[in-house]
Amino acid sequence: MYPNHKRIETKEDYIQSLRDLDHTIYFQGQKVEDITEDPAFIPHINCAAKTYELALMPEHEDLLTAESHLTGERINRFTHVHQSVEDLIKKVQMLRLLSHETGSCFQRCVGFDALNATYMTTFDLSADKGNDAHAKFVEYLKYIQASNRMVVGGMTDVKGDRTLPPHKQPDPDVFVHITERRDDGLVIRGAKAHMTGAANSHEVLLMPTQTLRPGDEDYAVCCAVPLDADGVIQVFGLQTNDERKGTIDIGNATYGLVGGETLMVFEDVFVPWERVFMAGEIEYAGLLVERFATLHRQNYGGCKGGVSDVLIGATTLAASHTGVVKASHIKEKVAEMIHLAETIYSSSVACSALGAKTPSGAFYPDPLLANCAKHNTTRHIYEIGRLAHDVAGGIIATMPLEADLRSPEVGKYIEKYLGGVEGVPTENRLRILRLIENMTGGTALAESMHGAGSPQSQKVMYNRLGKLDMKMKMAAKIAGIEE
Amino acid sequence: MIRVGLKFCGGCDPAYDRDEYWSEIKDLAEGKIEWVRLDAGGYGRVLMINACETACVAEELSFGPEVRILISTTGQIPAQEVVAQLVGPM
Repeated sequence: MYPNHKRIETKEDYIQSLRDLDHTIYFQGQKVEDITEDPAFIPHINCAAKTYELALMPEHEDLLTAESHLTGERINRFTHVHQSVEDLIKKVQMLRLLSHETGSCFQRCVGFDALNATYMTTFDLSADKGNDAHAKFVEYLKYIQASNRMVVGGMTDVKGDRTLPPHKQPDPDVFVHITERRDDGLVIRGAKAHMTGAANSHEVLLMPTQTLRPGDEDYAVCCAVPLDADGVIQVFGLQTNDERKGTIDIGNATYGLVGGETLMVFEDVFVPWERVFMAGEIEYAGLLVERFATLHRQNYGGCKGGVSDVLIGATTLAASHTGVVKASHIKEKVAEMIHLAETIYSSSVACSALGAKTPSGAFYPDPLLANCAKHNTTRHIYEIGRLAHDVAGGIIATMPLEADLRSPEVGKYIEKYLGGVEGVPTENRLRILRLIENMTGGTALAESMHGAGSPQSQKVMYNRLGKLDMKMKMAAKIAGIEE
Repeated sequence: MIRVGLKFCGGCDPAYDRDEYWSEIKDLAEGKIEWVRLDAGGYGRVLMINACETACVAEELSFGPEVRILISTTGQIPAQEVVAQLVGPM
């Protein structure tokens, strides 16, 4: 039923698999023939490749691999369904580790979370409806675990008029929907936005974007689509400073700064029934969305905590390059950065530690704490960036470019006047300052704010999950109010 | 009277009023169930009352196949049904 792809083990396997993928991707108005040769895509590919590379390293296999509960085989953790609280915690630890290695977004968590959310929700759906949705999904999961192909989770619809439900939109395509039901499958149309890592993924696992109500049945669709299927078109977005040249000015030339996102269009795409896991069951749309959101919000203290560790290191190096690292106000600011990074990490660990088993057997983080993890990230990453700017100084905004450093005419002035303490090459100082500049501006910050849901979506969950009834009872009892 | 082992989770962050729930179960079970702590032994049925979906005690405790366990995580099983299941046939 599923193609017998060669299992992706190494970075080279991964890159070759992308070359073999006949996907349709546009960038700057042009169709990209081979993303593995295009400088705009290479950092994101390098970054995702780390999820394969580290899995092969004995010192990292404990976090990067797991035993499949379906086959007993050793698999990449990004294709695993969490079987314990320990698995949930290892997920967060793995994300922090990968951030330490890359300083960027390695993209594979989105598909990881989509696989887990769909697994547990199709279980409930099938138990309720008596259908084969879960059995079909298990077969799909086995295919992904065996092939180790990269899956992007496709949730965010473009939404059009936010005041209208999907079926009342003037343009029905602003939410991905079923346009035709055939004997052999479905046809879908629409678009998903902010698809992190999609340009260098092999598959998309589509889910509804919000709770659905009667009339929205055609929008309750969860299915897996190969990204080289006919009618799938992706448009890659430019990231902060992507167009800078050389290896210094871009900050993180090898791995980029964020995941690399596309707008993914489905132009009457056929999906065979074996790849369809929900088609019209509106009552399960909200549950799937909530589970995906919780699993994805769980991550942010791991990945952004790890990225913050890199930024803290860069900030400390910047201070040491000018001899101020032991100044009390610098130490105080670095200590505050550490406090904030560990705060976001601790909420991700906490929601994992209090995770629970779902009826499917898969484990699921505490949803209230997972939302806290993400909400803390929307705030603390900005403060960590502000402190980095404070310590690094205005030079991050005004320094000349790498071309000036290399210039036969003015390079000597850059060397002389932008140097710091003796023994530190000027180029090293500039490299660290550019890393700070790039990690604390533009796309990197917006990703921390809106990835896995904007802050307001976490506030909505607080009101739902905050147990206000019990809190009022506690207060009334202590205040001596008799009911 | 049926002897039933009773175990509560710690109740660190309750999602519902466990006292009210337990009180209802106890009243309905009056004369039918003798409640004992788990370390007392001599029971074939256990009721675990958790305060939220994390259900800590459900994960921590294990029993042999001869013990029937009923786990209520958020008070989702009505008290009447809890009692009926505990006094019903094995």
